[in-house]
Amino acid sequence: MKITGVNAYVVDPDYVSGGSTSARQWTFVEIQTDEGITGWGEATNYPGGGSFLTAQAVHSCREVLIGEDPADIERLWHLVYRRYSYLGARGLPTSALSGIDIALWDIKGKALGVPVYHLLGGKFRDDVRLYANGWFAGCETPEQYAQAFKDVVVPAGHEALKLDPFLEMQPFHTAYVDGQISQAGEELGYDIIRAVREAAGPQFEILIDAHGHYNVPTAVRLANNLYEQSRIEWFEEPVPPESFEALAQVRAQVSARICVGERLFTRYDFLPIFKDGLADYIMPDVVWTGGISELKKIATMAEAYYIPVSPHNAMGPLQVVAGAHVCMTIPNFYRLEHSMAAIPAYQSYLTEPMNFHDGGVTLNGKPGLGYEIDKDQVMATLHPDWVGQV
Amino acid sequence: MKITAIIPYVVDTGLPGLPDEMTDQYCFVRVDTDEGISGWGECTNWPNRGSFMTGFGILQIRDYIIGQDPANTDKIWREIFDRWSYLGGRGLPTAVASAIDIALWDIKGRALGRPIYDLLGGKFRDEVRLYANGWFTGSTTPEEYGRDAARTVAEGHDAMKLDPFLGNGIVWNGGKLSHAAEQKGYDIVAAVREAAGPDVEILIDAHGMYDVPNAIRIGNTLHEESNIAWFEEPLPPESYKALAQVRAQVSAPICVGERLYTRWDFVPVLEDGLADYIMPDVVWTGGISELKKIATMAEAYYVPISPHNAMGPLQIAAGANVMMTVPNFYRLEHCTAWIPNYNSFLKEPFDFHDNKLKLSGNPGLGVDVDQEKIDASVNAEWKAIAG
Repeated sequence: MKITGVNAYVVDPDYVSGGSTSARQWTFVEIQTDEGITGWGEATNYPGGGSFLTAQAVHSCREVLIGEDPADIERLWHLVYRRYSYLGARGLPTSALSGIDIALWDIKGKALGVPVYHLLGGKFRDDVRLYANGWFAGCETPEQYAQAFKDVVVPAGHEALKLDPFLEMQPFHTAYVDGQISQAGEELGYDIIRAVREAAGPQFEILIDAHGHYNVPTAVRLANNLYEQSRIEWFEEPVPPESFEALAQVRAQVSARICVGERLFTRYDFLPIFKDGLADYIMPDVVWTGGISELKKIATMAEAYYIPVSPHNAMGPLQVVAGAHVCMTIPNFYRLEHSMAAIPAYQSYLTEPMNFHDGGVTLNGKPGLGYEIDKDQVMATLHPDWVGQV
Repeated sequence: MKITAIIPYVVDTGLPGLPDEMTDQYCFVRVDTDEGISGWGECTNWPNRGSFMTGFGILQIRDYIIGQDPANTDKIWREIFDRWSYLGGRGLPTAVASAIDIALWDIKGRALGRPIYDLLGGKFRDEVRLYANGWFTGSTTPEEYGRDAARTVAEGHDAMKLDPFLGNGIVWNGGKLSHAAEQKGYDIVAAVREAAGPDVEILIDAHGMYDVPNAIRIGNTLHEESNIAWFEEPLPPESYKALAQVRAQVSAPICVGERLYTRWDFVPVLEDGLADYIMPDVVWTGGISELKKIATMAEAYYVPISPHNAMGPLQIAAGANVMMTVPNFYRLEHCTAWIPNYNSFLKEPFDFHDNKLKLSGNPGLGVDVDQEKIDASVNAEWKAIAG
């Protein structure tokens, strides 16, 4: 089999995420072969036009991918990874690589007539446990968060949820300045979490996403207060991702569990986390860290440290699907993220809907990823700036 | 003052003899202001169409920067870095930040009528010491390398760099090389040492091509046989642990840093003592602002800095401006074979003489980019994409 085409599509999905101030686009990757099998992947990135840049990077790989055997996933992964070493070999290059890798796994599963998880060591479980994000659209007060919990999270059967309660910091999501928060913003965040805890009861797992907004002393104070007041399950990305030393300082002084990893790319970025014991949970992102191949390898490394994996999912539908395939196969699995607000948009790009039920997702067991991208929907929602690039 | 336009130019270099995997485009960036002052920067990246990717990055980011006061270099740098944290924060994002930062410093210098180095703490020296790269273009045998080394020394150089194992280009080969290629590399360096004499500093660039045991053997053999002055990038840049293993077992001084981006990537190198020299790249690591900050951090560890320069002329000018101002300076890289090409994009040529570069002392970067030459050299594919 030979690769005959590599195409990236940047689309404008019809959904508004809770909290994000950035316009978002999804980037899908299509790899065609001479035997009529087509694989799909995703290389979505945001913000700042990230999804356009990953799409451009995918197109820049055409010259080395076309004509190759799509079965050679490892070799092609390295070809693309090493190709962009001088652009950082992490972040942008590994996002483009992720989209390509996922599409190659889709092709391999389809060619062999089995789901991808079958080829990754086989099943450890039949369903993939989720945690809920994106359930709080429009909420601003503690009361509204408690109500959204009852109205949105409970009916879906969830037992774990995530939120960032420090609403004042949203404009600084990708604009870190000094890592500090006002007293009023801090108090509101504590009140929101207390209200959610009271609505949810003592067993529910409440995960806090700090989005890397804080400096060392602020992160330490916020995490300890949330843990003491409301028994949060994890405090995620306390500090910006580029300083492991800052994370180590926080780690040493915080009683809450720590989770990091959506902005760590490939095994190499996770090495210091494992070696220095900087996190209780890790959350690599399958469309950023290097695709199905790399997520599986990171999980395998983490297993040697007894660290559970909980993939980050805040992009599009194939991110959920690709992550779920890997999560089907690994023992050290905690939960897969998904955005409840994005479910209708996820489904609108698939010819068959994903089966979300009882706080989990069940894959359909069909060959490859198991879900086909609706090409008509892709073309109908192509971003205006990408028309002409396809 | 307000930024009114940011224009990326992906231009064909016209450089001869680049390996196949290189795609030889420079990426220059012009920043215009409402007061008629324009500044130039560079974010050239290769191989493999990297300059197109950084050019695309400029197109994506520029609307966020236009309208700002160009004086606020640190704030604008941080905005670019954070906006693209989810694209890795380092690599493409910092290359784009580099070009804009360099152009903003050029504007500031021109607005104040002073060379940039005057605004970075002022001069530590009058000229910037160099080491030579690209002095061996076209050579393949030890004899040819020896001949070229003798010529380079006669031209006034006392430090020169090469990768003697690079027969197949910079294509990762699983961290190993053949016995024949390894021996030929040793023979080339021995011939260079013999031709250059005992006092010339021979710097070896390994381009991150090796795994741990191969890097150790090659680094030690070259040091014992030919007394090399540094062994650069022994391993791929992403594993500090691998570098620590090599570091502990190699007698040659170690240099790393062209693929380390921002202070944060240099923290483990400095904290764990993983290198004797560091070589950040001013058009990749974050521009003039970040190069100065990295140098300042390195000074606290008494580690000398030697910026990587294998891209275009504004990389040389920007790196040289910073190196005028830092005490912990070793040498600035430049490619002797490319000097005519550097100069072809400038109205007035660089003053390279012997083993030194003397900056003009004119405001800003101290060089004036030849706009007509740039316009005439824009890559055809880029013109179709970006207009």
